[in-house]
Amino acid sequence: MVLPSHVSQKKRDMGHPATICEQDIDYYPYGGQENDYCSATSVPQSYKFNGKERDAESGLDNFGARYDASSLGRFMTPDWSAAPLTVPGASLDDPQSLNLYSYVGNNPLTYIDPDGHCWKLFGWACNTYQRFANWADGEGFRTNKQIDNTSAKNDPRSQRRRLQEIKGTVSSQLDRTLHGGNALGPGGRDEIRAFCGGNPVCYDIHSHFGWVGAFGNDRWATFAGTYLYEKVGPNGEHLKYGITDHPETRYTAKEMNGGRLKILAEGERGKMLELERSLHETMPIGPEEGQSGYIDIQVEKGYAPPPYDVSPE
Amino acid sequence: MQYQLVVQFQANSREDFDRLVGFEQSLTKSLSGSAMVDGHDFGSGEFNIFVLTDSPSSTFERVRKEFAGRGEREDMRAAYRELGGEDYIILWPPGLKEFSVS
Repeated sequence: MVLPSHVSQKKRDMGHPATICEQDIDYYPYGGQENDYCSATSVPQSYKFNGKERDAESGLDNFGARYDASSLGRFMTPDWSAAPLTVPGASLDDPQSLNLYSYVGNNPLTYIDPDGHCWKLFGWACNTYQRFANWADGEGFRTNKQIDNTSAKNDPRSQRRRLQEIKGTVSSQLDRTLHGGNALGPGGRDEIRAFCGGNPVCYDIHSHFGWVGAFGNDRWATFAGTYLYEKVGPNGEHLKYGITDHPETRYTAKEMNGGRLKILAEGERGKMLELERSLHETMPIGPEEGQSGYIDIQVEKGYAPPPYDVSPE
Repeated sequence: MQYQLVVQFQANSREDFDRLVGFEQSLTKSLSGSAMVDGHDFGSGEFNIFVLTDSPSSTFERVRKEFAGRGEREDMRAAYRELGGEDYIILWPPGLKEFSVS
């Protein structure tokens, strides 16, 4: 039996004889591992902080809707909702809720997040909130999970939710592939400022992806490969794909217009071109790409979502 | 390289993508030494080829000749800016008042 933990509590597997210590771990409030009392006799067990599955390769915790990086104390992707909302799940009387990347509103000693969407004092509060919200939305008095489980495969709402989930997961995986669970160390943002001078685009790229933390200035200066990127608008909407050797100077701040570059892969130019072509294969290309919810609109028209399997081998 | 030259085309299909990537690759060969083709972006109805150069006007002349030699429709726009700068100086077509990258 796994005893689910909140924070800084022990989780013990009692499904084995008492002589076997399978897992007994203390966590820091944001999920970092403090003490592992069973490290010597440990049986492989991937369910860790808050009972969520931790990816051994990236160290990210799967909260269902999103992946959380305990090393950063934040989610890897912003919160989202099936319905088009400017700031999903936010409440203007709680400024912490406006940060869509934050984990439980930066108050992990008090709150839990059962599914990556909703942080409340108790899990049932989240479910109750979801039930009322879905009821008001004409979906019946059901939780999001119940809707997903009972909706027909062709139900547009269920499809949209699933697509958003895939997109969130893929973004995490791609970021992880390139930047390996990096974290900006103490003073990391000052390093970025010094490195980028007054270039806001350079600063934006580095602070999003942590290249300084991952590669160091030398790594950035000496990497001689090509980057495949996605340019997204201020609301995360897809705008275009591109390849470059110098992402830090590719666009002006005005052209970024509050959006950002998501680095999808890096490597030899021919390979990056091949990956980019595969991304263009399943979606129409045109001026409508800048529309909010472009991918959702195309899926509703019957187009398959992008393949997303662009991680370099 | 001090300047970024942007060569822009309208593009809305896979065929446009393959055609313009082919053009970009031919530019990479023909400009080698004097300028560096840094890549492209594709989406939102346009295809941009980005070239880093110290002499944008003469580099663009070579780009234009290369493009004309392919016998394709000339829907090309071009402008350059200082690396790190915000404002474009328009090179082509004559009379174009505004240039932007989406």
